[in-house]
Amino acid sequence: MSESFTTVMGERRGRAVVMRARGRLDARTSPLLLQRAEQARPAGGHLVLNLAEVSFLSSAGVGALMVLAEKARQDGGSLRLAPVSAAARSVLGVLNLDRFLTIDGSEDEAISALEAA
Amino acid sequence: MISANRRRRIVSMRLVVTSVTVGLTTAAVVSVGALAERSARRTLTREIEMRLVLEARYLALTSAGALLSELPELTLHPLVREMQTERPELAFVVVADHRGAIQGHADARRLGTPWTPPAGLRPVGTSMRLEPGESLLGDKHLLVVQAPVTSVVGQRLGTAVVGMRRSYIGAAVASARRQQLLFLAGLLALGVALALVVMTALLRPIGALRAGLERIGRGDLDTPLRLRDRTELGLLADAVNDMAGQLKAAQRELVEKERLARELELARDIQQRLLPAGPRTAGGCVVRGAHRAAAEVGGDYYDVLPLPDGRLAITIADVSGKGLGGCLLMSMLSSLLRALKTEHGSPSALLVALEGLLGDALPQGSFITMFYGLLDPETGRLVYASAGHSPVLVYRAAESRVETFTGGGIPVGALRGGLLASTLKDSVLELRPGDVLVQYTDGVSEAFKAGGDEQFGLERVQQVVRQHGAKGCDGVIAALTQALLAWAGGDAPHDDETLLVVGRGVEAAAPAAREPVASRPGVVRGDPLVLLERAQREGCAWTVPAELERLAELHGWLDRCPHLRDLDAQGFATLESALYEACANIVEHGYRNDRSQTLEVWWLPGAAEGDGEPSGLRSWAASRVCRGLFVVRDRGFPFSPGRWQPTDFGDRNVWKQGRGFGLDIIHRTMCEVAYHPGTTAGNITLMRFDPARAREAKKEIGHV
Repeated sequence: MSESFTTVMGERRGRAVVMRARGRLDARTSPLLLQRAEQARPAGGHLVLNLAEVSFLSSAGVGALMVLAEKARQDGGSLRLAPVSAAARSVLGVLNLDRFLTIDGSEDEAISALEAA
Repeated sequence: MISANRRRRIVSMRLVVTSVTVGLTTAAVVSVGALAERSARRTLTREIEMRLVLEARYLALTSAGALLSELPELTLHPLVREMQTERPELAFVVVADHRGAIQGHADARRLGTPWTPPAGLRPVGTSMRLEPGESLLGDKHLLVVQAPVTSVVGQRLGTAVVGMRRSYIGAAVASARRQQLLFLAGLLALGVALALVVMTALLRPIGALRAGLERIGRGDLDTPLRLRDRTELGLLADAVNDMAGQLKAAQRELVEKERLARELELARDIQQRLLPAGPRTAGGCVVRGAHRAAAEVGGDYYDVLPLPDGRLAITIADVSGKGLGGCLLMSMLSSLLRALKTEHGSPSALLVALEGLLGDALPQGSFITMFYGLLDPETGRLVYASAGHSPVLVYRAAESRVETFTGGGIPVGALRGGLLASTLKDSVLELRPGDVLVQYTDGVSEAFKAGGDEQFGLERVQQVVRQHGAKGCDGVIAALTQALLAWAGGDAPHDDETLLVVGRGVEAAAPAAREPVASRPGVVRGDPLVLLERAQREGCAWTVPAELERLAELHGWLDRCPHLRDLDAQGFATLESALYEACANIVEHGYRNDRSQTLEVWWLPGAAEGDGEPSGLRSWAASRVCRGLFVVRDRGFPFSPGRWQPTDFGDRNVWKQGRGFGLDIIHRTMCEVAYHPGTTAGNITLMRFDPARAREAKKEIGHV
């Protein structure tokens, strides 16, 4: 369980960019996610964050996701989590944040939702 | 120093200074040489011109007689030839008569032919004064002087002409330059040699300085640098010697400090060993103490000793004097008390006897303030005497008020000669069910406000006891500890802070209806020290260094804990997150990421049912698996995260900040959370976990 945290840039689809995070998202690694995700999202665009391989989510990680969502919203874009691992989803569920954050079943679903909007 | 040599390229000072000397000398030599050559060329040219003019005049003089003769060529030809042979630099020597025919020439064939001077000659400017009729002419290659030949009466007889090759001047200048260069080279060599000698003389003390500094680096501070040098290097050597002296003094001070620190550590250890490990329960009474040692270690002491008749001897004392001395007196007090406790039915008699036995062991000026009481746990009757100790506070549950009992004798050892007995008397008070008695040392009432000089004071102690008396011993101790932390800050206190609290029927009287409600945190009742002891005995333990990285190992530990692996994935993930948050809080706030520290976590599955512990856990059904208690113990800064307020996720500012949801995760996952900072066993966090209840709690919050 001591695997490190990595992010992988996915393809750009229209005004959205896909980014995949993997590993533990905790107090140590969340600043990394914050920085990379902010760099990845095009100005005024959308970020689809794939958390399928996030094995652990701490409050700092939750905070990073919230900051990303808020920044995207202020910038005229949005943050979509697609998909989210069971472990991360449980923590978001405990905080009732699954009602505030947009969570899709897959990257494709997120992209089509963005295109439809 | 030696290793620095290896790493760094050394540029020799000798080389630097010598190169600079050579450079400067060369520059001076070249510029002086250039100037000298210019003036030498001018001087030489002038000199040669003058000589040429003189030659021409001499020729004119000697030719005058010959030109008046019949056959002047007979005299002039050999004269001219001789002149030219003697002076190879002369290009030509000619004597012409007044008609311009050549009468004297080295080449006999030219005799009688008309004299025509070489073409292209122009007058040459000179500073020399020429006689009338004389002229100085020249071109690129030649310098020619014409002088008139006149008779004694002034009649013009002809012209004497002497021509010289200019290359002769060049050769003369070159030879002068060669000499000059030779001289300057000599000068240069001398300069370099001198620079080397001076540098060697200057560098010798630097070598000595280096050797001395290396010696200091190796730790030899006793051998002074001996350097007789009258330059600034001598001053430097003196400064190095001073520095070595100061270093030695600092080293001595450090050794002394370490010795004192070891002594204090020893004192602290003695003190901790003498204090009771946990609370004592007898009949319907609980006696509990709490102690927070000062940085210097004071002489606070408290104890609870069971007597053969079922009563409890309870005492709290403050030995004047700090450090090892205070601790030794305290340990003496402890042994004497154990010996005397059964011999005296009267507390005041015991205190008097104690003073007698301590006798001379108590240094002049030292004294002990002490409270000693005999408690009947069945009836709550307390007979006590106080030798100059702080007032006794009793929280009366029936009236929710605090009674303060002051008065009593002088401190033990304050006035020798049996005066103590006349000031002491036994007093009696009754503890009724729900009542809590509080005794404390002056470290509590005299705690200074952080950054100020206001003391905590008796009134504040009374106020806290009044407000929290209903919560029993633990409640009062926790509240007083918190209040003192808030008052004085988290640094080690100025004096030992000790509390002794006696409760009668308090925990037993707590109604079962006050079972903690899910999502209402902070009320895990039950003695944290008892629970810790049980966790250490029966629990599944995990010890981890205070590093965020290492908290990842939590997952593996939880997976090995009995029953927890039966949790569903969602329950397991939230439990892991909640425990991570609790541990991360301690790592970041309690230990401030000090990796040398550790924190311990225990999992006590099931419930503490029917084991006689005065605990809210009693009513906690044990039938369900996956329920249990997490006990976290650390020895860091005693902090309490404070009361949890659910975060309002509808607030945009919360989203902007993106911080501070750790408590949300902990409290929404755990049924109950209680913090006990600063207990005798360190900081203890208790978290009750029940997956079924956690889900209920979540639902409840979800509806808000």
